[in-house]
Amino acid sequence: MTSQIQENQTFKDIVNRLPAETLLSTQNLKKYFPLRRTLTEFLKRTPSPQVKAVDDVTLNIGFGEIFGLVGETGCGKTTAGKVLIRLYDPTSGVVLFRPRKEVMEELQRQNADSITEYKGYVDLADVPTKHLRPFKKEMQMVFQDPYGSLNPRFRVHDILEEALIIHAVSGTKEERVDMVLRVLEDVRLTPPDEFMDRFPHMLSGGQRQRISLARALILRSRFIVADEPVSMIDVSLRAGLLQLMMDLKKKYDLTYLFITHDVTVAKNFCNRIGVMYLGRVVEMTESNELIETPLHPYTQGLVAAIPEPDPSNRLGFRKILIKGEVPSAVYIPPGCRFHPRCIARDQHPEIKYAYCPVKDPPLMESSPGHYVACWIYGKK
Amino acid sequence: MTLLKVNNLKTYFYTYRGVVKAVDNVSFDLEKGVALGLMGESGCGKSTLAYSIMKIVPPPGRIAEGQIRLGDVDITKMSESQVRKQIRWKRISMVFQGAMNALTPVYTIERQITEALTHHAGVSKEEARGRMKQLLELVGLEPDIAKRYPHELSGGQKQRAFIAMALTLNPDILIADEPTTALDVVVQAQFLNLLKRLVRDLKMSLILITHDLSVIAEIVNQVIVMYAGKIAEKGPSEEVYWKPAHPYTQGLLQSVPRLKESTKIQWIEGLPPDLVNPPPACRFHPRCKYAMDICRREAPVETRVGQDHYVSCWLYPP
Repeated sequence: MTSQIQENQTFKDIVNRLPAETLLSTQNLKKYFPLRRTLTEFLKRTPSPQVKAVDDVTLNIGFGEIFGLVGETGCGKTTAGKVLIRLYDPTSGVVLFRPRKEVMEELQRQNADSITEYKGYVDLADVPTKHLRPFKKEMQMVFQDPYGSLNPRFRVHDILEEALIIHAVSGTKEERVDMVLRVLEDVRLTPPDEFMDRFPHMLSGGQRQRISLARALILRSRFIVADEPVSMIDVSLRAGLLQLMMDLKKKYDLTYLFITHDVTVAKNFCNRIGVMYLGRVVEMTESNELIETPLHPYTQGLVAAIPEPDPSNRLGFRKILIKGEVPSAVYIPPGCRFHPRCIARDQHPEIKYAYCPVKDPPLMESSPGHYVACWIYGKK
Repeated sequence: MTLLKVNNLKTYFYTYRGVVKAVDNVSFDLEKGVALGLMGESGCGKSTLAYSIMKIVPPPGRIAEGQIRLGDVDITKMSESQVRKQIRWKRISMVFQGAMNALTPVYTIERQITEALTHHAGVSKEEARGRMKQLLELVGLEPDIAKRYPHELSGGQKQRAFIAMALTLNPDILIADEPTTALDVVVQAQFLNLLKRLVRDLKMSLILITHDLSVIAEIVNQVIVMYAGKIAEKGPSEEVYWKPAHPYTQGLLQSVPRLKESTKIQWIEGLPPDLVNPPPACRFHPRCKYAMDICRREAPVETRVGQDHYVSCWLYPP
């Protein structure tokens, strides 16, 4: 059974085919960044080369789910996260999102007739910039660098209150201060009135990351894109922040997109994981299954390379199951983008030349809920 | 054979805010051919300890007390020019955190490596080039890399080129300060394999500094756990990993998520202390769940709890 995603399907078709309880779904999402042309290229009128940061990403995220997006540096995972919440405009593709009723009411008040809505879903890629703000209240991002993502000249309460003012959430100053105090308590920065007047430089990395979380929570966002939230935090404190994120998720029915390069953290924190390679999701399944039975040769190589805190590992050498280096995202290899580095291909002569270097494998469902983009498992 | 002996080392930074005791009374031995892991969180003094051994502590820091004995010489007593001529790169060399940015962008790899050889070892350019080829092969790089500039190499290749440079003068000790933090897991695995091979084949001593317990477990046979400028626990890696004695080590090991097994994630409450004004007596007591009265009054003494396994904690009274 394959569930291949066809191009040129209408918005309604896609919505009708979505699994129940889908909060956000993308179909064939692409984001290209144009590069500058050289003088010769300009004179020859060749089109500008493009960095294909996100190249055909298709995924569904359900209500209350923690979806992990893992991959190496430069595979496009952060860009994908930013496109999902429209911090970048996608080059092509569909981003379906189911906002709250209040958001739709707000849009009606703005007379946003150009936005089509079907069964509660809206195509975010299609929303004009001037009508985006109500959606931004629903979806927020926690950035990787806790030292760069907070304004150093703002005090904690300014940082949090600013979000309320921009989105015109509540009228009076007292109400806003009250909300700030409550959200600080939620992220366990206690006593909150002590933290209110601090500047970011007076906080530790973990505390700053909590402020970033609070900034998203104060708007009652339901969908939070967390981009490597723990990678710059000390080991002994990481688990604490992850636990806090888990508790907040339960309390406020949040849905997370958790972007990370650390497969171990993703496995322990996420319900499902999507593995990205050079702008594409190459495998997507439940997190335990991904670690126990990785199907895609890239995932296999990735999992085999992860060090574990077991001193007996030092007695042997690790097997490297991936050859060569990551190619540039400007010149993505034809066919399966992983084929120049793939070792598994050598054991499958029937597809080695006929399929891998020629045709890009679609994301196929190899067993229920386990998707993989590799010719070894697929119908050809 | 003991190669390096660090004795009661104190490296302090004299800042306007006060004296930062980055390394405070640290002693350990390093045997020949041993890979030693120096583990701790950011700001625990592990990099400063490495800088002290290389004698490149940046001002306002300086080695306040103690000895670093390499064979029969004491590095702390030597002048800068003596260290430069006799120790640095010849006997001890170092791969820095983000080594990829430590290469000069305007020289080719060949020029950077051969320059070290012609200047320090006084060999001819021809000889230097031959040696460079050997080194590149040793670290698993293609010879044509030599003609390239650093920006033409990937992160893993730059890291390897830097290791090749660190090995030019056949040092006895290689210090690697967070060498893999900027690398992806697959490249990291390749790089760790390389380090393992160097230790095994060249009988080199390695000091690996990292906050990543998994990376340390991949290579080292001796572990030192540092907390707030002091050694909390040291011992053979099997001992430290399977029978962690110090509550801090136990907490750290429990906070590492595992890939193959599902364990409940735990963490250590509180924050690492400010080293200008560290907690009195045992520095870990404000975060320790076993803290007793004596922990607040007296600093713990190092106690033996197993084969070469030492811990500084009052749970194990001498």
